[in-house]
Amino acid sequence: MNLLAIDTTGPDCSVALRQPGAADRLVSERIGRGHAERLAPMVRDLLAEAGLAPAQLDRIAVATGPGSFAGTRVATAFARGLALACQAEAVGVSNLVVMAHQAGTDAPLIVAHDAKRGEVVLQVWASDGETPSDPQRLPLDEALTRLPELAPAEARLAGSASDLLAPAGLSRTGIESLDLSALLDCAGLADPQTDKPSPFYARPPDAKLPGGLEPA
Amino acid sequence: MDLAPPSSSTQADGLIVLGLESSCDESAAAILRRQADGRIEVLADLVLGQTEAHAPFGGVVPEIAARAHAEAMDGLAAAALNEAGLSLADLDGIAATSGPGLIGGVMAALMTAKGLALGSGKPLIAVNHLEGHALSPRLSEPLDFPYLLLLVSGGHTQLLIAEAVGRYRRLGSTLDDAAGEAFDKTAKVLGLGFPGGPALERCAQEGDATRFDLPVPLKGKPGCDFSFAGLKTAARQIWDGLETPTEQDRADLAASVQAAIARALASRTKRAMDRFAEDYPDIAQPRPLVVAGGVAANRTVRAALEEAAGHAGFSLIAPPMKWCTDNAAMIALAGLEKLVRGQTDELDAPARARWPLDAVSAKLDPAIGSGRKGPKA
Repeated sequence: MNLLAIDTTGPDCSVALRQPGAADRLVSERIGRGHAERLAPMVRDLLAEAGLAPAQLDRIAVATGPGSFAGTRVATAFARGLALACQAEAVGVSNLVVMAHQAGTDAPLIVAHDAKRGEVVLQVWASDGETPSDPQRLPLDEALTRLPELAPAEARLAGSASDLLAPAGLSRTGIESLDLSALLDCAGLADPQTDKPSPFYARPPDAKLPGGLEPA
Repeated sequence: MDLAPPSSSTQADGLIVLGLESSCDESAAAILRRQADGRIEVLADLVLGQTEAHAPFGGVVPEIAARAHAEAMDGLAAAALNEAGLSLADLDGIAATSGPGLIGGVMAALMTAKGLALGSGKPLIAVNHLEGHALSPRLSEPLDFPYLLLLVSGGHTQLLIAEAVGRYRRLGSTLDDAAGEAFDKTAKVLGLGFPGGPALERCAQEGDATRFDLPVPLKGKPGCDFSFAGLKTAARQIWDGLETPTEQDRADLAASVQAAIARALASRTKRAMDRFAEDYPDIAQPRPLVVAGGVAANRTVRAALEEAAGHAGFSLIAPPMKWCTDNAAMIALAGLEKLVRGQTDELDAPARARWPLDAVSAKLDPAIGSGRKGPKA
């Protein structure tokens, strides 16, 4: 399977290609902003270096976040357009799942994303082989208070909110961002029927109803 | 590596372009064929609105719009191809709005188009949304350049002379709110719901347009610029000043505001028609005045423009409503016209929140200049 993976959920603009019998090609640029400009040329150049025509891609995978809302949309919209043109499968993989993969199978594990504005998004892998909890968004102080009920005391911590959750005293994996090889691994395992290339937003859109009410 | 396979259709058979649009709250995809003689054939024309998603908020919420666009664009492109009975290999180019507009939304169509372009080896054409509107009358009927254009919508209010494809001269634009914003925001104040323009027009039917005195924007100021913020504020103050407003008060104020907006549009357009007549004395009467944009649907506005046009020796031309409001057919048309002229874009084409239309002219002829750069430019 010729597998292309893309990540624009954070400051990096990253593209990765896995082909049978060849070493992975991983290209990452720390650009901060401007993903909409850089991404397509990076993919074009990566495929050209590999001597691969776009139509030879079998699967196009995108990191769905949580991360920058706009950045995540850049990759998902591009991946879906590219997949349509190449008649390739389009799949999405959550950044939390990728980082859990990076941390290895030694459950229990908490992967926590810094959703900013004093909030974190948590997902818990309680034990080996079991389905993880659904991701949930919590205020940081509530997350710190509730960690003991959410995960066993021996749980290890990964994700961009690792520093924020340090007061909880869990052991840390040192994994705080997404690794491209791990993204390729997870992309290869993804199920096109269920793992859709749609952004995983950390929170609903900012919008108040008339009268300053929160939407239901 | 050369990714571009030979084009499937020669220019003699006509060129075919897919257009994508997502700069405000309509996701749209369309496919057009341009015959060698310039005739246009619409092969598919799809629009997916988001009114229901924004209605509870009384206006377009950019993040809600961007999320919906990002989920919709690839499906719309596929549906347009299906409707036209074509595959990507049959296309000669892929056009997308790359600005101006709500930037999160603009990126959805542009990135989808980049993916389609890279995957199919077809050229990308980054289109200025305003150029789409400027060319939209040519979707339904042949129309020679030059013509005067009033673009009046929720996002834009400007007067342009379309001199040629790629050459637009802006005579004036709004200094603050767009006319459609004045409609929508007044409708919100009056509690009329969203979208506000049609709701306000309905309410105004029962109202007395002469009851409330509203300021005349930019009264006596030379030029063709617009201003609607003062009008909107005055309407709100009148409404807040009514102790227990009745249905009649609501209808009267709606009618008064609508009449004031129509008057303002007609009076500035009158100046633009004079300018056009001076600049192009050889164009025979009736000279063409095109009105495009969602506000062109308002009957009071249209009547005021028709009257002003008649007095000035112009005839008012309005594209069918589906091409007056945001659509992808006009984007595909602008893409076709650029493609015919060899103007395609690289895969690093940026999404732009601001992109004054005369910047298109400025690129071709720097002497024209890029005009004012403002929030509503």
